[in-house]
Amino acid sequence: MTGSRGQSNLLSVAVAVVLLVASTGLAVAVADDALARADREPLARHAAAATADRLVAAGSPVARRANTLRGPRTANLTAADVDALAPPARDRALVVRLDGRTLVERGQPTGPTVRRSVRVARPTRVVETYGANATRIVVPPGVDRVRVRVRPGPNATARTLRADGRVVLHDPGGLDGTATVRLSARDRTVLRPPAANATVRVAYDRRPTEAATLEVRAGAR
Amino acid sequence: MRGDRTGRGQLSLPVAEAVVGVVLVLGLAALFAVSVPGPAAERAQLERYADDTGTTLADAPAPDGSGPLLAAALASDEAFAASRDTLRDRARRALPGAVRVRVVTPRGRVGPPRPPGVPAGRATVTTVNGPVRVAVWYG
Repeated sequence: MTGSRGQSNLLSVAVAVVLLVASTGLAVAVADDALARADREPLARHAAAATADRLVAAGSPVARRANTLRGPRTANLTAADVDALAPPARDRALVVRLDGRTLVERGQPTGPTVRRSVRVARPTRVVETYGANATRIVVPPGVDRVRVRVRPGPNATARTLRADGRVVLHDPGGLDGTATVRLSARDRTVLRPPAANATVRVAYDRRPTEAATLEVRAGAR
Repeated sequence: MRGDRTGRGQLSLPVAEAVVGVVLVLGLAALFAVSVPGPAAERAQLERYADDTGTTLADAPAPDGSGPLLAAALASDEAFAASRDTLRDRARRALPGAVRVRVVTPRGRVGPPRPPGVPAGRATVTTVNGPVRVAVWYG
């Protein structure tokens, strides 16, 4: 009767419907999961990227120049600082790490981690005293100001202090005390002691930089 | 079942339709499942690394404190040869171990050549002595 026509029977239809419904249900579940994941991440990624950008930018309160962070100031970074600096990060879970050390932690962020490579400048104070027989005092390059203390010797009067031949301190009555001298940071500077018996103490900051990685991770609001 | 069906292999049509339908639906599901934001995010991170490396080389002071490393290195061929190691160290130290970096300057090149076809982040720094190009990739 029905030999030459392909015709369904109830069992086949039932199996087909079950298969289709099951696969549709699976597809909807996968799509829902993918959409839910995808919805959070772009905003969290943007928040992390914006925060990292603003932390390492040249005008940032924790940066000396672009991509060079101030060591002590960065160590004291707080969540409030970050919120003020980067509005996308407000009210979000946030973690900021520098070289693995956690600076700011708020909640459990689940977004991707944004990494920036920076250098961290840590100031160290160098104090050197040059006594009676010093003929020259060398200040290394990169130093733009020096605090100089001059103590005159017993029988001589120190009147002038020269840096690279230029007079930077002068007192006709004799130098005795402390003063700040500005220098050119581009090259090293050679100071000539003002008199043979004077004691000169120089103090300046050096800021060697070290490479570090800044990591920022943000989460949902 | 019936005698007519024994001579011809005939597939039950509903099952065939169901299989086609299932394949279509699962294909759509697979599109959702595998559309992870991997490559775009990776490329963006590489671009950040390249930018940061370029900025660090151009702005951060040399180890002796005497001013930006790149400007001093590009001042002359001898200066470049002398600073080549410092340049390479500084470029590499800023990046995680898995990232390779190559710096191309008007006076010479530092780092391994970039393998073709690998996604890479690029940045260019303009200096008085010419442009300096930085390329980073996961290697």
